[in-house]
Amino acid sequence: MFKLKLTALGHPNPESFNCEDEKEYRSVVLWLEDQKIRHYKIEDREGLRNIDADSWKEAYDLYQKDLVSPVSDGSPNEQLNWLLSYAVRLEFADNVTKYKDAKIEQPKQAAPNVVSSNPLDNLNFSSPAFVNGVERVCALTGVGPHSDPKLRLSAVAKILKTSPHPDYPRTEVSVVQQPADVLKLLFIQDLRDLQTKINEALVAVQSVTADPRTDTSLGRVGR
Amino acid sequence: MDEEMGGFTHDDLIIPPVKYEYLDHTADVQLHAWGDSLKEAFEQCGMAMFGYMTDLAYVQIKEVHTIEANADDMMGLLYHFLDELLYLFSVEPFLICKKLVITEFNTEEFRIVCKCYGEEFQIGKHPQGSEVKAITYSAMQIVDEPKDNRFEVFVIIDI
Amino acid sequence: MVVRNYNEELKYLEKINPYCWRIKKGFQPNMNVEGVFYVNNTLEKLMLDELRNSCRPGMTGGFLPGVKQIANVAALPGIVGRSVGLPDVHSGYGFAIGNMAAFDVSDPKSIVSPGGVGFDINCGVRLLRTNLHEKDVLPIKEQLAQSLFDHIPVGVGSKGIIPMNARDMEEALEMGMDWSLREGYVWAEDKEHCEEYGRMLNADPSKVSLRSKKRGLPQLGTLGAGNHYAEIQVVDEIYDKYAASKMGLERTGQVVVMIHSGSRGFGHQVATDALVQMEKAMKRDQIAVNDRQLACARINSVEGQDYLKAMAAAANFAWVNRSSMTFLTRQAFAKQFKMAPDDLDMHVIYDVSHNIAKIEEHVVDGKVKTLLVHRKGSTRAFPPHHPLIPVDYQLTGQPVLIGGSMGTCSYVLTGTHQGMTETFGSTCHGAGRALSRAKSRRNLDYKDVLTKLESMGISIRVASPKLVMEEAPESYKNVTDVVNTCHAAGISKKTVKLRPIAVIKG
Repeated sequence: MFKLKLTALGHPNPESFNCEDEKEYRSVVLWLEDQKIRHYKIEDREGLRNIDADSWKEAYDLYQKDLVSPVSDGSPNEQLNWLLSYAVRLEFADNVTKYKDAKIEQPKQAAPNVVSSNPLDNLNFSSPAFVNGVERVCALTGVGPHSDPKLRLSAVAKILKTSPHPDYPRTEVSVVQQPADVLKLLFIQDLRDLQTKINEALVAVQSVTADPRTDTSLGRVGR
Repeated sequence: MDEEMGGFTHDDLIIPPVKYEYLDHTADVQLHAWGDSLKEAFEQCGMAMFGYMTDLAYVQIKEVHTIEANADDMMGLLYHFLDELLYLFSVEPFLICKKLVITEFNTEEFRIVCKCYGEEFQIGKHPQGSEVKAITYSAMQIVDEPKDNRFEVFVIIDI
Repeated sequence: MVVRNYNEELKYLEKINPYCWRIKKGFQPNMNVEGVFYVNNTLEKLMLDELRNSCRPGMTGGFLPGVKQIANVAALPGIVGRSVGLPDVHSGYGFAIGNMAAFDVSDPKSIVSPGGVGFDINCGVRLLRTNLHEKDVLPIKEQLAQSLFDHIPVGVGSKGIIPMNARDMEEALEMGMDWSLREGYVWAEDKEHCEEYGRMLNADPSKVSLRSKKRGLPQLGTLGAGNHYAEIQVVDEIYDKYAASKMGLERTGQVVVMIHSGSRGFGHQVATDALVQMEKAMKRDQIAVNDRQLACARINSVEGQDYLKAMAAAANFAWVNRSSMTFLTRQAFAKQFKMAPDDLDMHVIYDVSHNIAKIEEHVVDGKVKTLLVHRKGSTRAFPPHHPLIPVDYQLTGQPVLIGGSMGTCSYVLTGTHQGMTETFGSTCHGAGRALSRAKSRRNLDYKDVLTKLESMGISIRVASPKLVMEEAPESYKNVTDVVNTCHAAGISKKTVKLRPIAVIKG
């Protein structure tokens, strides 16, 4: 655990670190403060330095409070993870020029990068227009408030899918009508493409299987 | 089904008199047949059905086939008798019958054995009449009153 | 049965608008829901006359009048909504012809009835378009009619000319139009423009009797007799330009071919077999019905399920049958015009079934329900955006093909939202008989009918002369009245009117 961050920070043995071992845990915390975070003056690090003392725990709690860690009430692993991340952030802030051009090494791509042609996939879900639109549809469908507009939209979708809803009369100017029409047209276009592909597949199969014949000796037609 | 080609006796070729008529019905046709016995009324009813499919005057007696019908009651017997005849026409040997002779008419166990005289239906030789889709029980009547010498049957066929 | 005089009967009927009547509960015993029927003034008179005649003392006709039959259907277990009579309704076996009824699949008491489908399972209409104009066809109209007659086996006793053995038949029953596609008798696009894509997936040939298969085999690829036909028609009037153009019908005078046929002896036998089975099931499950002809079984019983699977096989038979005749029609045209069928743009516009039962989802009292919808002499007419209609008709609504009687016009309609809510997405199917066959033969003369057709510019090739009288337009309700009623009532919308120029019949 924590191998990546420890490696990034230059810890001497990131491979073998065992976070379950109380002693190792404590020495990593000390190492972070001594080498990376340096929040206290050297003399004030005494409490953390006594890694064998029972009072270490109190010192650690105080340390976290002083750093304003959001997870000071969390599990030891969560606490350490935050400390590591904090250290990484400090490291980066100290050497912005060095790191800013760093590129993440792209893993080998098996599939080509798919650019979605579906306009729905390219919606900006956080735009005020989207949020407002969802708000309006929710008011119509009676969906309650929620901070995430996407969640509210999926609730609306659920309602539309499960409960019957008569088509609005054309004459009634309805805020639902226009977007519904657009969605229907997009759907029909998709469906047409699918049907065309199905037909092409059928024709391809037919080129192998088809052999239509008639035999007028079997019956009698005309007179 | 046995089949005897040729070798008909003189009696076999005697054509029975017509004792049937077609009655009015909105979408379908009602067969009304009668005779001197219930057996004869049944035979006539079968011929009435064939008479609706073609003009029997064009049909020759060339082959004979035997059919058998069984049922649980008289109406069922009439129904299955006609259904067997329809089947004889619809599949091999595609027989169109000019004459029917019931050789066993068992009204206790409801069983009929019937000899069917006619020939294979041939477009061009036989005028095409109406196609019978099915026999129905609707308004089916069997009049069996030996006292008054009244023997009649009424059947609606779906066409 | 209740005996009432005509005026007492009328108390149970209420005209709720100029095109629609309500049949109140109590008109027939045990009605679970109300009935309803759609008529205009002319059709209303025919409908009420039929009822009045049946009220005369001493009437022992074969079938009850249509209104009574609609009400009896309303008394069947599990029916939801209303028992609906379409404008072309006339009395038939059990159910009236032109009757639709839906049953709640989730209700264990709900039933399926072969009488609600009819003997000719998946009888239906297919419409092919061409890029020809009437003036291209007129000079060779007689030859074209003859060529069609020479290609399509018609009439009683005719046999199909597409080679088939028992194994092919089994496959065709299971695969429906996919079989025709595989063998190359139709085009991929044909399947797209077909109800159910030309194949019912629940078809199970093992539920079909050997007798049915034997009856069906020689008849596959035959038109049949009676009211079945193949017609060369021209576009006479376009009411909805947009919907028509979506169907590839751009101008008046454009030539189309209409094929009206069903599942032949195969379907008749499947229905016959099922009726026998269901009589037994009714006794066992103690299903009470008002009329013995309404033989039925619970949807979830063995008999009910077996029937639905066999019916689906018969439906597949009918699609293969119409597909085979599509192939023959394309050949006939290709030979006459010395052009390939695709150069003649001979696409299937649509293919409808008007004798069938299907599982569908509908909104009943604000809730989505799964229903078994029986349509007997009634055509499905789904509205725009319904998921079960082809993508090309998503904006127009499903095309509904209404075949006229011999020598009269035919129509193309489209489905509406109103029809979806009022009639479970159902509309009329054709003209509907007005005169009995025997009466037609007595009152009409063969030569007169032919002369009249000729004077209207209609070439005719018919296998049976007496059929000419039986099927004369005078024997039928006026299809224009029927279609106008559906349009005015809002249950479907007029799109195109077609006029025949050549008729091929059994």
